[in-house]
Parts: sequence; structure tokens; C-alpha cells
Amino acid sequence: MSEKENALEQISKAVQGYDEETIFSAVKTALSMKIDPGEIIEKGIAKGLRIVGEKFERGEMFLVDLISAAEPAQKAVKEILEPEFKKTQDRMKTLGQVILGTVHGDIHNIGKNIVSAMLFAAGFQVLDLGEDVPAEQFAKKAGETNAAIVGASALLTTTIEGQKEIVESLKASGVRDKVKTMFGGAPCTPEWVRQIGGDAYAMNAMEAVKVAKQLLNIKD
Amino acid sequence: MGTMEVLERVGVLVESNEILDLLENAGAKVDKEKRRARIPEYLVKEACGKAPSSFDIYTRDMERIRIGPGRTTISFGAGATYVLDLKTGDPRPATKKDVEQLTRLTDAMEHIELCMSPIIQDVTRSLVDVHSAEAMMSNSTKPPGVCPGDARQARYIIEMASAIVGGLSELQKNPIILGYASPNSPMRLASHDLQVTKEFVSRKLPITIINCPNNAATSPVSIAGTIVQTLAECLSMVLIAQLMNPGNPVAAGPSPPVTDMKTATACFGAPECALVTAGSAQMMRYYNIPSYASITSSDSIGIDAQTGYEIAWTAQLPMMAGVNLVNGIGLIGFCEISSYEKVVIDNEVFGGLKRILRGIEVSDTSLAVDAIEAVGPGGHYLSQKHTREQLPKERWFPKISNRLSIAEWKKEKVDLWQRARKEVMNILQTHQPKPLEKEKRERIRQIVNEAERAVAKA
Repeated sequence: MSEKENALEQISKAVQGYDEETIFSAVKTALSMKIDPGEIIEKGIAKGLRIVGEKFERGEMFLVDLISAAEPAQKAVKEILEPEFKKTQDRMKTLGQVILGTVHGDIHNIGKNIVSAMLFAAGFQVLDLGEDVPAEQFAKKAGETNAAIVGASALLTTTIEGQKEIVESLKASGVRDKVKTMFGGAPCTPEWVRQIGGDAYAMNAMEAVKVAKQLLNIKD
Repeated sequence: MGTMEVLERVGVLVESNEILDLLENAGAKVDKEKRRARIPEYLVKEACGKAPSSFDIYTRDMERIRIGPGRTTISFGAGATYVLDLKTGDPRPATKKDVEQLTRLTDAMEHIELCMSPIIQDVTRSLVDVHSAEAMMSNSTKPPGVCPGDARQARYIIEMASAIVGGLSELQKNPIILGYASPNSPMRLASHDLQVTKEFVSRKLPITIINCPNNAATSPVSIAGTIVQTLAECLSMVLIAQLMNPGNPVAAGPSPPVTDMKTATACFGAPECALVTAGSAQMMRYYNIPSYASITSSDSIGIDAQTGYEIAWTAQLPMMAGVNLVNGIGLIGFCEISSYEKVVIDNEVFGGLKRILRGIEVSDTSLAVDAIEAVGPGGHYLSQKHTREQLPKERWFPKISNRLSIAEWKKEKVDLWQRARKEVMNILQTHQPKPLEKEKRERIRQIVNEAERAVAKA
């Protein structure tokens, strides 16, 4: 194994070991060796996540393992690698970018957080806008980025209208045709998503990954 | 104790400056910028001392329903998005008509004392709870449990209940509704829940504090840790209620799912759920607060053996632990589906469970030495006076459970689900709840219409 291969393998192993510090230092080591950031993601981070993901699919690992691997890996990409891409103006290779958030007035974020980690683990780039996000903010970010999907969750009957507002806001900003939309959360149903002119409903995080792939015609 | 330590060391995030002030003035350590209130033990203990150890709500006919030690008050299960269609057996969005029918069904169930509602999908979204309240108030004399999503809906619902009993002061004396509000796990009190709490408590109306700690996701994976967090979250809201109105009736406890590690689904039928509800109920008794728990929920989508064993283990343990107020009746499929059939099945289960909880009576009569002597070796008990007299006390009589012989059963091979459905159909066709007087019905309709107009204007 070359030094480069070894460095990338260390990243993959670090991701499988869940330890943020180890992941960060392995990624920094690889960068100091002038390994291309795209390669660090592809052959280091994504590889590690793929292994965890496959074990999860086979029932050998649990949700907690998947999220424990995905969250620090996601952080390393955001904090260390994304700035590198900005420097070189290179595009990150992902399945596509997904903008996520909970709707305006809703702070229930656990579902969205799991979806975010699982989409990332599956190979999507995730822009997580957090919780209580105004509809206009989703539209603004959709306009500013190359996002392929906008997704939002709501847990309350009093906040679910926020999903409708996101669709309307995307239309008003002229970006509705640029992105697909997917929605979820306890009071959300496929019927509701149809009614508000959204593209897809996802019942849970597992389904969200499948639905995101379907929306972008990505084969498993 | 872990709970008190968590309240003092971690504290709660309070998304209301008004409530932060209230807590600070009472003696909590408040960080205004981070909106964090760290609560000393003595404050919580004082609040638990002020809250009544039991309280009463009433049916529309002014029959008293006690919520407190020594009994379990059973309520319909709230919050499903879907209803299992009676014809197709498939989940479909819940409608207002479903709430009307489920309420009529509840009205006929001997063991269910409170109504509650699924989340109606065919009305104005921001007035779902107002429409639910109307459907419940019009279709049963049993008091509705209401969980308004915001303060505005809470006010409309309280106005509707006041109209039925003849004013707010009457409602305060004899509350015919029970409010619900939730902390958000972990350790967060959202502004809308605090506002809803205030609408009830400022009017001296009873409220139930329920949290929904998602084991391993929004609460610790350990059962004890989830109980500690449940108690800390619930007691922080109990404290706020007692600061707003000392002595206000309040019940508290969890509706605790476990996060499934393969599917990320929040499951309510797991055995760990029963441990959390039972442990919390025991602790609430220690704090002298009527305990709440969500029980009998199953994660099966249809009605099958999984439904049965999940009902059994989520219900029996907390009931044995002495929980005072429960809901979950009719819920299947991760609490996302209400099933008419399961309402009837749950009612059956509660009949049996209540029998178990009554225990074994030991007295001269029940030890039955005289009867054993009277029958003598080789005789039988079927014609004994002792049997006839003690039968109603000793036995529970099932309504829908199979007790047919093999030969009889073979004729139609009807399973429990089908028998329950038949019972549902029968009740919906024949049971007429005592109607709400016409002028009261019209008045609460008016309030709903006012609410609709206000929303349309906004």
C-alpha cells in the first residue's frame, strides 16, 4: 500500500471508529500530503461511510453506529474539505445537494437530524439550515446553491402549513423548477404533499434516502 | 437524585422571556442570553407540595372522574394521522367524521373515560384542534382531552367548554376538558407549549404535562436515564404551572417511544416503553403528582398477535405500578394510526387487566371452605349458591374474546379483528350518545365559525 493509499485508508478507518478527533487529524494529514480533497472524500470518508452503511443495511450495525460515523465525517467535510474546494473552485462529487430544515415555527429537529446524517452517509451533500427556518430561507438557499432537492419536516398541525409556504416561496423566487421537494413529519401525508404541489413524501429517514435517490433518478 | 441534579446542573431551555422571569423571580438561576433556567431542588419540591395529589374532571352530565392515587383513568389515544379504514383495513388520512365516530365509539366503551382525537386531515390545518374539540364535545358526554397546538386554539376550546357548562367560573368548578402540553426532549420548553400551558393554568384549569422522550435519540438509551430526563422535563413544567397558579391541578408523565436501531422509527410498543412508563409512574407518586403514561400502543400496522402482546406488556406493567391517567387506546402503527377495532380490543383488555389488578381477595367467603365442604369429594360447584353469589365479584366477562368450542369456531372461523369490527359496526349503528342540547351545539359551532373567519382574515 502506498503512503497515499495508507493515508486514505486511515481516514476510512477513522470514520468507522466514530472518533471526531481521529477523523479530523487523518483528513488533515492527507491534505498535508497534498492528496486531492475530492479523493479524500471519495476514497477516505465516503468509503468509510459506505462500509458502515452496508453493515447497517445487513443489520450488522445499528442506527447509532451510522449516525455516530456520519456526523463527525460530515463535520470534517464541512469544516476542512469544503474550504479547500472553494479555494480551487472544484466541484465536490456527490449524489447531489439537499437543503434540509424544519419549517418555520417548528423546533422538532430529531427527525431532520437523522435524515441529514443518513443522506450524507448515502453520498448526498447536505445543507442543513437547522430548525424554525422561514420558507423564504429555503428558497433563497435553493437559488444560491446547486441544490437538487429541498426537504423540510414539520411535527405540528400548526406549523405544517410551512411546507406549503416553502413550495410557494420556491415558485415566487423562480426556482421551483430547479429543485425537487420532499416533505415529512408526523402530520404530513402523501395526500398533503400532493395537495401543496410537493414532489415526494418520506415517512422516515430510511425512506427519505430512497425517495431522494428516486427524485434524482439515482439507481441503488 | 439524578432528576434534581439534572434540573440544577443542566436546567431547561425556556423559550419565553416571561417564563424565564417567572423562574428567576422564584429563585432559579437564569441565563437570559442562552434562555437557560437552572432550577434548585427546593423549588421543585415546593411546587410538588403545592400541586394537588389528585383532581377531578367531569362528564357533561357532571359525573366525577377522579385522576389520582388508587385508580387508573383511561383515555382514548391521541395524535394519529391515519385511521385504519373500516372497509378496506388500510390506513388512510383521518377525517373529522372519524373523530365523530371514534368519539361515539368511546362513549359506548365502559372502560374508556376520556375522549381524545386523531389529527384531522380534512379541516383548516391551523384549527385542527378546535374542530377535534367540536367533534368530541358533540358526540359524547365523556370529557375530551385536548392538546391545542397554539394559544389561540386553546382559547377557542376553553370558550367552547365554558359555553357548554354555562361560563368560565362553572368550568373552573367542574372542568369538562383536560388540557395537554409538552416539553420537548431533551430539556427544552418551546414557546407554544408554554403559551398553551398558560391559557389553561391562568384560568385555573387542569393540565397534563406529557413528554415524548425518544429513547437513544432525544433521551438517554438507559431506561433510568430516560426516566430521569422525563421527570426533569415534566417537573420543570409542573413548577411553571405552580408558579403561575399555586395549587393548579396537574398530571404528568411520558409517552415514551424507543428509536428503532434498524429503521430509525419511533416505536411505542417496545417492552422498554413499559419500563419507562412504570418507573415514571412510581416516581410521580413519590413526588405526589398524578402520573400520566401513554400505553397499549402497538407498532403493528394491522391487528395481529404483535398488537396483542404489545398492548399487554405496555399496559400491564405501568398499571401495576399504579399509573393514574393513561392514553393510547386505539393506536397502532407507531401511534400514527387509530383503529376503530383496536378501541374495542383495548376496552376488552382493560376489562381483563382491571380484574388482574383487583387481585386475589382473601376472606372467609373467598377461601370457600364451607363451599368445598358442601360440595364434598367428587361433586361440582355449578349449582352452588357460593358460585352464583361470588361469580360477579370473582370473574371478568369478556365481550369479544373467543370462547367458542372448536366445533362452533370451525363454522365461521372469525378472528378477533373481525369480531371487533362487527362490534364497532354494531355500536356505530345503534349507540346514540346523549346529545348536546341544540343551542349549545349551535353555540360551539358559532365559535368554530368565528375561528375559521379569524384564520381566513389573517
